[in-house]
Amino acid sequence: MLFVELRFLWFFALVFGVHWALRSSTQRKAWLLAASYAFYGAWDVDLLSLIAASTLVDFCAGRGIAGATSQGARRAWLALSLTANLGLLGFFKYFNFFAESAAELSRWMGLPVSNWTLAIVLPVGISFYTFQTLSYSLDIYRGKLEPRESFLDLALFVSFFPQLVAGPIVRAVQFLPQLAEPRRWDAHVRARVALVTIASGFFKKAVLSDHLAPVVDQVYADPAAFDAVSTWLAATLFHLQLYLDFSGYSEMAIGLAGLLGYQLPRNFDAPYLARSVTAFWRRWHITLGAWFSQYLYLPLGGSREGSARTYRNLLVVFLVSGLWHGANWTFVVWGLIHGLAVVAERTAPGAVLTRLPRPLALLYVNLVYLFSLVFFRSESIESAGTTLSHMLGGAGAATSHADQGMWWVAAAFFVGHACVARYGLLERAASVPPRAFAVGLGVVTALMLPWVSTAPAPFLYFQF
Amino acid sequence: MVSRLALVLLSVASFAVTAWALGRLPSWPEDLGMRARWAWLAEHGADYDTLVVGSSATANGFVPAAFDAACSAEGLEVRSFNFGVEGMDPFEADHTLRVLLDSGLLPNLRYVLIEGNDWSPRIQYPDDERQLWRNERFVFLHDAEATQEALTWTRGHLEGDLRQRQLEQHLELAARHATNLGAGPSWLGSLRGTWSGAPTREQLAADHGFVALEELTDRPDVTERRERFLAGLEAYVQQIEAWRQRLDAEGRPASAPTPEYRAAVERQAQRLAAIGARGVYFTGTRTIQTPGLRGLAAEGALELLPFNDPAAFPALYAPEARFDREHLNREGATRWSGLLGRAFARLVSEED
Repeated sequence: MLFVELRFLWFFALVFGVHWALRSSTQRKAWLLAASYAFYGAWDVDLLSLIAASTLVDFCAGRGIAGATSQGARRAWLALSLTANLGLLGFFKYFNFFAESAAELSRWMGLPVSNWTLAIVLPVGISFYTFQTLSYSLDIYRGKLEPRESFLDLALFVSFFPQLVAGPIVRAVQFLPQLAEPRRWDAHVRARVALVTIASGFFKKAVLSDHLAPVVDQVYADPAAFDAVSTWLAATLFHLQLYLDFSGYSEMAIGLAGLLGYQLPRNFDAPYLARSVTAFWRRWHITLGAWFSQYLYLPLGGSREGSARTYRNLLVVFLVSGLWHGANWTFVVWGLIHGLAVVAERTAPGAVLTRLPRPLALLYVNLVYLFSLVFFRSESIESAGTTLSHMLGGAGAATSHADQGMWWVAAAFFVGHACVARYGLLERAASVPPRAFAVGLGVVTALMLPWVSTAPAPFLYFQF
Repeated sequence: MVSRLALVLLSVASFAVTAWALGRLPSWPEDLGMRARWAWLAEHGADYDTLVVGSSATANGFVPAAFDAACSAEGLEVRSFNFGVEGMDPFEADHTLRVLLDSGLLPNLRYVLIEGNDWSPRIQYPDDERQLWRNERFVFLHDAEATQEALTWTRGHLEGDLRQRQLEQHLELAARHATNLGAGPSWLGSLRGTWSGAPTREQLAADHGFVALEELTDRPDVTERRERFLAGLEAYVQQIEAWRQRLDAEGRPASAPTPEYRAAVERQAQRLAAIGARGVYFTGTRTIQTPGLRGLAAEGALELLPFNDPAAFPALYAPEARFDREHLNREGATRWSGLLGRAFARLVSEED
């Protein structure tokens, strides 16, 4: 069930209506939990057991950590949580990848191997909800959170449907305190802000991103057939598609949660206006960056132990981040490119990159991201190599052309992106008087619907 | 609370008014030459006084020039336009005719020829949601009146899961129609009068809506049909002979039509009478029985020119007149249109 589908509208209307009609906080939470499980069950009922199991393990681990009398016991409970969550993630997401990679390595070394891969279905959203459950155990271990007495609270935190399958990744310390306080419409809901956020996300996904997808898919399906200009166009459009798709989903998630009285953290902040790759990562998929910063970068030592260790820590974070996105070497290379760029910006010679004039800085950041996304989007390293070679003039006899009119769409996007951020258009829209807002929302929605793509594509981040 | 409810209602009303206003824009579907014909009539509708609506049997079988010449030979001067579209059943043809009449694109209309068949507002691809979702023709069809008819028919004639599913799909299509969901590209295309594929402007200027199947060389499905027909010529001849024998044995049965079909025919007659036009029904050169249609003709509810009869029109069913089992080639189409023209002119002259 996608946010942009008509059936989701009916689903949410029901959830919203019943949620605010119920009087007791416990009833509301139970209702939201049931709705969240139904939402996930619309994809695959069988895989609900994984979420339930993950929740149960962390509920026990949290209580175990808090109740342990020795450091060893605390570690053992944390190890249980880490093993269970990362074990699930590792098996479902990475088993085949590592098995294939090991087999490739063995063949390269001349050793006889057979195929070890399994027919595994990747559960939707597993990378997101395992990170959320992990944050619960880790925060209790670090003394930043008390374990929950209520299994219901933890289960709802793990499975809260607006952000269950593609984030934003909410840490336990951000969400669980909200569950402790009964939600009240007047105190916890900023309806106009939530509605503008949903409308913005819907526009990004259904009106913009889904129209870019066919051009991108056409070129990336057979990059060798397309000329240089077309490969540049596809790379540029994917650059936009990924942002529009993912930030669109995130905004809808934030807005929907907002209408239910819950605040989710912002996930994007005009990333294409960043003037360095380091700054870009403070604006792009902010919640993932914050998770890695809290639970990987800082525990590794952060930037406290000298330049070399800092560079190592940064590279580790970006490589793991790449692998988090997908079980393919293309994602590892994507992460490596960003890691190297961030490390380079910290070195004395590379620091010049962070002091470039604004137009050059924007060009530099967007080009780094654009080239890295060629790996992100390609099926294999070889395919990415073909696309890059065509982009850099090696198109040879390729004669196919993508729809060049889409360059105008790309140009319009960058102008719109800058205007929305610079003039705070969404914040302004949310602050108009209620009657004008009501009329405007109705008119804007009616104007938007005709441009919704009739070939809706799944959200790109669902695959992660 | 009242204030919040008022704001919600205000927002819904704003949406509804804007969607309604936008819905007045033409959004003719591009599918299979539909927009091409709309766009042509938007420019040249006043040139025609006779309109023909129907399925591919019409689109690829009715040659306006041959029809007009045959009418002229009988002393009836007409200028006809072929608004046949592949897959257009009587339910869709009824909607198309209604929208065309309401649009005022045919100010000089005198006659309408309507291809008759069973009345069955069923969704053609009930199990192919993506096809259904993308098909702007289905959405175009689902205005309030057509949706109401479809829901009534579905409740009365289907059962079980199929009925439930079709009801849901009709409602979803009606919701898309009412909210203009995804209609933007269709508006742009309609306003600009652009389309792709057949019929081209040149074909429309030369053939007034007729498209010969042998000219659709870029349609693999059409080419494949032709190849299948040629490979099974003997079976086709046997099929026609069996059909002829069946007609001889069973006759041409007439039965009571469904109430919905009867009501639709009455509505069509009223609409046409209101603008001073006259409707005549016909059946294409196909091996199908149309008992309901014959029943209506027997009652005098409509005038019918039937051609689904190889015994009466053997030349139209001869392999050399056919493109495939169901359709005529250009030569066969010209011959049929001439026969239809003569029969039509005589019918009109007798009545007048």
